[in-house]
Amino acid sequence: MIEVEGLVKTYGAFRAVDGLTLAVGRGEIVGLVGPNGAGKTTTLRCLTGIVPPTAGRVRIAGHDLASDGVEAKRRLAFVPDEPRLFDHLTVADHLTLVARLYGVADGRDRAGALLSELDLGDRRDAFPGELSRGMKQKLLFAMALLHRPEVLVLDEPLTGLDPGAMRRMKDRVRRAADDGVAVLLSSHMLHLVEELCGRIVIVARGRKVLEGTLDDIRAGLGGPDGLAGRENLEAIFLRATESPGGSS
Amino acid sequence: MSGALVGLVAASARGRVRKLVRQLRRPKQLIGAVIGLAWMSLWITHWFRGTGAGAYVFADWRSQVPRSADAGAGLLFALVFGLAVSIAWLVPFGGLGLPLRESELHVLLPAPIGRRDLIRFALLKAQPPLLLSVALLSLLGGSGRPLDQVLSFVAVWIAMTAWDLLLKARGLFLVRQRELSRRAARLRRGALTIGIVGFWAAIAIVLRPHVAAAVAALEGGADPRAAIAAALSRLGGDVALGVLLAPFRTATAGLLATSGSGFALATAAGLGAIVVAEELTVRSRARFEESALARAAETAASPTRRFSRMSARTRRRMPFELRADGEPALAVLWKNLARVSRTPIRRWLALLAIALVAAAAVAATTPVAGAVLTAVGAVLVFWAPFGSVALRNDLRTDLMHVEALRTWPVRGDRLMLAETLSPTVFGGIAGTSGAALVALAAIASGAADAELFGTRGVLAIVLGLLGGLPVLWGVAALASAILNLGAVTFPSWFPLGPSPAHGLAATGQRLVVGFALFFGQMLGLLPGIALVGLAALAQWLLGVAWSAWVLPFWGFLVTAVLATEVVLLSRIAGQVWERLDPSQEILETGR
Repeated sequence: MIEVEGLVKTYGAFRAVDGLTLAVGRGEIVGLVGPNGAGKTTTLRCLTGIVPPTAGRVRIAGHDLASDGVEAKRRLAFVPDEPRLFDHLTVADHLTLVARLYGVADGRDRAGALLSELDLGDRRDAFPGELSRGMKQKLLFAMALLHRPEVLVLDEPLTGLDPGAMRRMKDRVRRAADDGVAVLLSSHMLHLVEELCGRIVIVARGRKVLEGTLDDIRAGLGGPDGLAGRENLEAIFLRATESPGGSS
Repeated sequence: MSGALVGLVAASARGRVRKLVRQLRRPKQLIGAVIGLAWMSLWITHWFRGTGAGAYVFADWRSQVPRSADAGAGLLFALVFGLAVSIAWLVPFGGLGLPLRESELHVLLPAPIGRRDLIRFALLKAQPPLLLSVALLSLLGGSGRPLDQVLSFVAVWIAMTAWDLLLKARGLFLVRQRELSRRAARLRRGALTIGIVGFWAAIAIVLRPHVAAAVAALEGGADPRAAIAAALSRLGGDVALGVLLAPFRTATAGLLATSGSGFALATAAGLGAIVVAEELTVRSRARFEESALARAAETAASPTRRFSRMSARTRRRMPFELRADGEPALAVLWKNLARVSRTPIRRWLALLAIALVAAAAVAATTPVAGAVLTAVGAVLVFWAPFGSVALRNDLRTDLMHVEALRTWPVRGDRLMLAETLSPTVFGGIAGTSGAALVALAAIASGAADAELFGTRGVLAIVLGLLGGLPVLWGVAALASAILNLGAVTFPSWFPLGPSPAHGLAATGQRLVVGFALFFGQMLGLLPGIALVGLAALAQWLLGVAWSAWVLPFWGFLVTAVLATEVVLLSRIAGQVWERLDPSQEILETGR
């Protein structure tokens, strides 16, 4: 569903993303992790059409993002790391807007159901300025799910959520994947990535450092210093990103 | 005052200067600042030295008015200053507490600093920007030798610092009012009001004979300049007025001092008054901490405050109902209209119809009412193509949400057209109302009874509206299309967001954009006007008689050209949008 080939994004002489290739299949949840400045957000921006890549190809549900952008975006939903909502639109207005943009025939009913599910049912008429960070995040999530996307791209989706909301959000992501949605999730919360993602891609300095299931990565990193044990993702992450250029 | 606080003020000022210098390294900021500075200096120079109204009062004072009028002019300055202070103190709301930022309060309130030092800090932190303003005013507005400019700097600084102190003292007074019992607060407010009103009543009594004498002289045919100079000379000799205005004269005396000793005396008095006012302000017993926090939070939330004040009913209203099916770009128009008003368009139109009928009824009563309505209508007609872009409910605000917009499945040209239509709707409605007002006023005044352009008056007006209104909508759309194309092509040159940016560089950038917009509109109108010229030429060659019946046809020609241009510009803007690589600056705007 998400196919990225040789993605490059440069800003002047700086290569934010350097030849990244990855794929996310239907129903799969893939975690994209890396230290600050590794190029995660730039990668997500490139594959959601926010910034054009310098080189490489991005296909969303079979549609090339460069040549068939509208069709590709119709199948895509993105939850950015910073909830930047329209300050003059209420919660309900945001969902009405999305329903029209994506032509969701049952938008009103679906919006009501999503708001109830995400505990925003009583905040329908609130403006973003009246919502907490967590509530804004939930609204972004509702907007992303409203049009039943085939591809879901999440950048730090759990920031600002209370434990209960985190649990519900994680369940919702799993349910979306069970329904066949391809999910690409970027987060610094490594326990979340470990818990949710079937496959993990570790990037550093714009390049892919490691890719695979947690067990594959553990096996790949196994060696004389003994990382082949049951180390968690944090240990693997630190090891992989402190020695960039490790094999993928 | 603690050295740390002085250091904080100095570091903040240094930081601001460094930021400014860093910003000026970027071409858009540098060019904007240069143009802004040139504009400001032109304006201030015109006002203080040149032919502006202020020239009479300030720089050419010596040549215009005899020396005997100086004392009277000094009293007049004190009178104006006193009036401004009195009005500010009479208003019982706004400017509560001290203007400190949230970040400052969160650091300083828990710190081991006395509350008087905190007040002193609030007073001192106003000084760097105040000194910069005074320096600019003295540099650009001052005339004569460098020494005169230095003296002018000192005199203006004293007046502005005194004003700043009095406003801060007022803010603390208002906080104290809230802390007192209702009875005590009412007593204090009553005493203050009686004091101020009594003071001005005394001033009015003293001033009355002077005003009467000046009016009599002017009515008697005296030269206005001579009459004013004589009145000022008499005013200067009025001891009672001098005593009454003495507190305010301490702040303004330096502005019109005519000798070195006079200036020194005025400066000493001014500085003394500032020290006394500062001490009184600092000794305030008002618990300003909470109100300062509330004020800081309110300032931080001010851009969205109007939304949070909306009633539950208003929140459920929107300009029109947006169904889920249909052209997706219409959602962008719907969203942008709501930024300006959530009132349904149908209701707008109904209210306007009622207002126009009422206006027609009023216009029919007296010629003055008709003239006023014509003037209001003309302003609205002028506002439609130029002013509607000031609403900023277009791409300049939406670029702040580029991260959302770029993921929407909407073709670039359609998105741009929707962004163009948003201000057009308001501009068009305003222009239509204005034109209708002018037409109704003309009909009500009887001007339409006569024959116009070879046609019956009322019919000619209707035909004129049929021809002119589409043009008005077209020009409004063209202005918006030009701005959107500019914003998407040179995004970093446009101040983004719903509110216009402030500062020297932003002023310069606005000027550049304003000129570009004006010339773009003129250029865009040329083909339509040329087409009308050709149609008129053909009519003349064919020997067809002139009548108002051609107006709708001409209007159609111009509108068709304008509409084509708008679509074309939107397509170009759409293509640029598809290829847009938003800079980090744009992506981070609004975060």
